[in-house]
Amino acid sequence: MSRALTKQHLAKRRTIIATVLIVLAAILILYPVVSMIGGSFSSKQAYKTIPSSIVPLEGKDVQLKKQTIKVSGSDFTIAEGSYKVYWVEIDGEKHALADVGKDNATKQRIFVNPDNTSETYLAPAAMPDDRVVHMVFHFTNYPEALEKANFGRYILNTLFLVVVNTFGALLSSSLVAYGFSRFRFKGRNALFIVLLSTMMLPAQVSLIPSFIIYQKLGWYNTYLPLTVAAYFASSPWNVFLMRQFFMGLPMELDEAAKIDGCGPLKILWKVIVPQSTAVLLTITLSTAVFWWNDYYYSLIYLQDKDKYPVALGLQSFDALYFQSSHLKAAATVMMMIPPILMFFLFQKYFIQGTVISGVKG
Amino acid sequence: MGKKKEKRIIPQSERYARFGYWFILPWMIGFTVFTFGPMVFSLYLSLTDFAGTSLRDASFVGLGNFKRLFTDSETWHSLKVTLKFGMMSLPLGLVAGFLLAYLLNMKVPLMKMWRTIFYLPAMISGVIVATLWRGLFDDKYGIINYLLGLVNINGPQWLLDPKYILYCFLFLSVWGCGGGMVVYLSGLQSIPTALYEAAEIDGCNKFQQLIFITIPQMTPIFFFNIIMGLIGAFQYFAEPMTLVGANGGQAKAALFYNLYLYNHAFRYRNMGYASALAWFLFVIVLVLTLLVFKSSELWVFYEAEVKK
Repeated sequence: MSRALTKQHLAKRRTIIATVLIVLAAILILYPVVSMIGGSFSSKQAYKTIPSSIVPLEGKDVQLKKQTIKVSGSDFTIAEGSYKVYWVEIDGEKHALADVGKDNATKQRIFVNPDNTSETYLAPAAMPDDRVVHMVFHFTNYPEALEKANFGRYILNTLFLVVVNTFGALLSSSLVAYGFSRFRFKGRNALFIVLLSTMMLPAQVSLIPSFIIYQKLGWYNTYLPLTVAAYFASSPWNVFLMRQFFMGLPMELDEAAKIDGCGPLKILWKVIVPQSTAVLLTITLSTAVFWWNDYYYSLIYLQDKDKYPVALGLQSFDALYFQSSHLKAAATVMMMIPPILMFFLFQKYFIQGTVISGVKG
Repeated sequence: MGKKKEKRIIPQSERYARFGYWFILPWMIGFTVFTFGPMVFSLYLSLTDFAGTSLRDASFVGLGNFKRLFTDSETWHSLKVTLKFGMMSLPLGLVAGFLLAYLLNMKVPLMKMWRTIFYLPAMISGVIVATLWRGLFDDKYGIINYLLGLVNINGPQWLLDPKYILYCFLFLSVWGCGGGMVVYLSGLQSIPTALYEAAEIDGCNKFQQLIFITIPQMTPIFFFNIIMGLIGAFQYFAEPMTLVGANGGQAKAALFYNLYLYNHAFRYRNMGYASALAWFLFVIVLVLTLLVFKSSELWVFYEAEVKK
């Protein structure tokens, strides 16, 4: 009995150690994302000036009215305006005080308590590191990024690519997968092996000639090179995934429909497709995310800024608004949200796709 | 699985089977027009000095491009950069991904939530990944140098120093190890528990079970991921383009092969030469894949072997 107890004990300890390691890994993985979200709410001046912060911190200022105060016996006039607030050490204790000016008699700085300006101190100038920081969320960064950087336009362009390509991928790969899974024509296996082998083919080999052909057709700088191929089952992964799924569906329903006089196309549409929502969703999601994220193909085929999708638009941000990193952070977050949201809602289907192509591939 | 079911079916008439051609027609057209045709065309281009203007002006140079390729020190440099990165990031990503999967498989509470978090980097664009990390690499305001500063290490200028630039990409790729992790996790879950029970009876501890059961059972999945990772390293583009630009940064220390190819094809318009580079890339990937395949006999464990 005591042995069983220690075994349980060991298992419990293992789980605790595993949990601790996992939490650490999760923090490491989330940190860059969270810090970008924090940055997206910060002001232009404060962006990324405090390395360890994940919330938008910035130096505190205080607005003071025009007034006259007493500093070591003589009068001192504070002009109306905003003053920086520092942590100043007075008699071993730190106070948050506003630096309002220089005292000519002692050559020291004059600090006042922002809440009670009659409370004044003289102290050496404070260091920039001693600024009092507080959290301020600049929500306007988001509308500003949408407007200034034309990001709204990029989002529409990307949505167009996503919808057109996803529709094409679903349509063509279900037809082709149906052909490969339900008809025993001559050369089927050989052709399927050809299809599988294209998975290993680096895209670069056909990229340059395709580019030349598209250019000759006058398709350069249009969305055609980015979309047409999707209607011809350009992704062997999708066909493979769907064929595997169709193979697993019972043939009895097909046969029954056939006896009822359904043609092959009708069987696909009325019998196979309704049973295949899982794999159709997997392909919808992976295609949509691919095109939402695409950078490479858009970079090669698009020239006008007006036609850019988000990934490319985000890059041109660098050149245009190099100073506005806070706006870039807002744009980055906006671009990150849709795929992450999709993933949270449908993670089962995403993981299914990755796993099927990763384990059985 | 498919075979068993097909046997039960009434044999198809040849006429019916031929409908299949109509259904796979889109792919056959696509394959011819977008893959095979361009491949042949690309082979032809690689033997010319085509400069992206008019095909009539392009002259046939025979194997000239390939000769140039072998003597071009920049080609070798970009190849070295890519392989060096691949050799560091593949094993590291594999170990990290497997470790996370192994930990998650230990009946940890909230397993699904952690899995979601770890998979997150695989969902976002390379451009975003690079943008997220750029700030962290900043030598003054980045968290990495801040943390190093806490232990009194003066952090380098990560993105500007040719010595450290590749490590930046290593950070990025290990950060994205969650994509492989989900595959490993489902692999781990499909290992028959009977194996572990038997081992337990024989008195194996957890570590021995990991070495003698888990890892051998996982080798086919590792194998597949290594091949795809190798191909991936040669396709690496958005991240270096975003972080250091098309020229590969200081001293071209991050001039990945795909950047190099892109430069020749679309910036310098050396399309003939770029086609040769693309074919060279194809051959390298093929050779590496075959090497991994060959060596796999030594280390990949397939269930069927036991049954023999």
